[in-house]
Amino acid sequence: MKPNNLENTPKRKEHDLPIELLSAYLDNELNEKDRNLVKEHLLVCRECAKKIEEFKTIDGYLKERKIPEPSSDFVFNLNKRVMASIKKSEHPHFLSWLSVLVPAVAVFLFIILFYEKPIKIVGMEYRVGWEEIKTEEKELAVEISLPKDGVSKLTQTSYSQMRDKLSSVGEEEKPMTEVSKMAGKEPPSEELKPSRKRIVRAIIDSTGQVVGVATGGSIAPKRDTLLENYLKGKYLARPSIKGKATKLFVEFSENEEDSSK
Amino acid sequence: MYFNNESDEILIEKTKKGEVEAFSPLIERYKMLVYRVVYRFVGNRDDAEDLTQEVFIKVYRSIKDFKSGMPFLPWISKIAINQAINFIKRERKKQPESIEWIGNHKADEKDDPVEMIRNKMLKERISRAMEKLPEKDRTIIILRIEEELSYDEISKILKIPKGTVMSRLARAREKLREIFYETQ
Repeated sequence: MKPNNLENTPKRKEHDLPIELLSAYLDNELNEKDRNLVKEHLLVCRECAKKIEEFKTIDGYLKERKIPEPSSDFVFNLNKRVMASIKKSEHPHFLSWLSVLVPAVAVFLFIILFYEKPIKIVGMEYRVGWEEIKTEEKELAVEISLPKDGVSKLTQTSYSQMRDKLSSVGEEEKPMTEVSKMAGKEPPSEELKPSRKRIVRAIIDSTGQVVGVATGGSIAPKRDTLLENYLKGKYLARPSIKGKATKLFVEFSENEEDSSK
Repeated sequence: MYFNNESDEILIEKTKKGEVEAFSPLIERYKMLVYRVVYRFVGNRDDAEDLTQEVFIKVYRSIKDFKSGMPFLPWISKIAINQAINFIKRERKKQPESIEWIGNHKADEKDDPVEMIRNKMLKERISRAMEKLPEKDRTIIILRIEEELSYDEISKILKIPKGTVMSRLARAREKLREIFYETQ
């Protein structure tokens, strides 16, 4: 260390020695040259000599501060306690894992039980060629398997059956209410009921979820958003063609149901 | 313990390699030093003991960062000092125990009751002055005057240049002196 050299500092008043030099002198941290310079200065400067005496006095008092002996528990057991703590953190007791494990398992089970598989939504623009896979068209050279508890249930329920059922209460327009009930939805209001003369088609994706509803018999049926709102999201059943899960355009219309009768 | 005769360096290397037991002799060797260092800051035996335990756990967890071949003392002291400084920051509200003193500053004090009382008052004043010092100044005074560390060691512990140690210590001393004489 090369502290400020007195020779290089501007001429000071006698007592104006840099405090750093006085302090370092007291700590014996100056090189010989600087130490001699300070020593000589102290002989002629009463101010600095007084200050350094005051530093010494304070240092002396500070060194007399008593550090009480630690307790015998500290002396004899500190090592054990530290080592136990270290070992515990290195190899935590299996019970300590429970606090982490139990919530983790709970979350895992929750996910397993309530997780919904991501569904590729099939919009109207992705609709499959309903003409090609209509179940009624026997000339179609594919085997179509519709689950019995879902789509088939819907398709097997004819409008006419529903109409018969409802005729007893004099409500001609109730068939759609039945469809809505099956889809687990609230029945549409009177204004929302589509005409039963129209052909109603639903698109279900490969998981069996209704993703769109259209009405009309043309090759490009018109999307029926009102009816779709009641049926969309309802799981019918997973359709398959030759055992392979697929998306399907399911038609349920009065004519179709009548023909299946 | 079969590690007792090993050097610090070997014990540290073994600890780094996962031999937990090799850390035990290091605790034995340095526990009083750590206790003394932290006591200087916290001024309370119970806190100093608890803090010493925390320091060793911290040392163990940080030992992988210790550079082989470097002296262990400044490194562990620095951890102890940092832990102690953090402690007093969070426990500032606690009143430290009154400072105790040993020995007599003057040889003839025992025979002179007036001198004894005067000396006692001086010591109390210096304690109060220390409490009034900013943390940074108090730290460097403890390290130099009470722990008697060299400027080089302080420089390593506080990670400041040696010249800064010299100037900071000088200013801290001057502040302490001023506070001490102000409270006269």
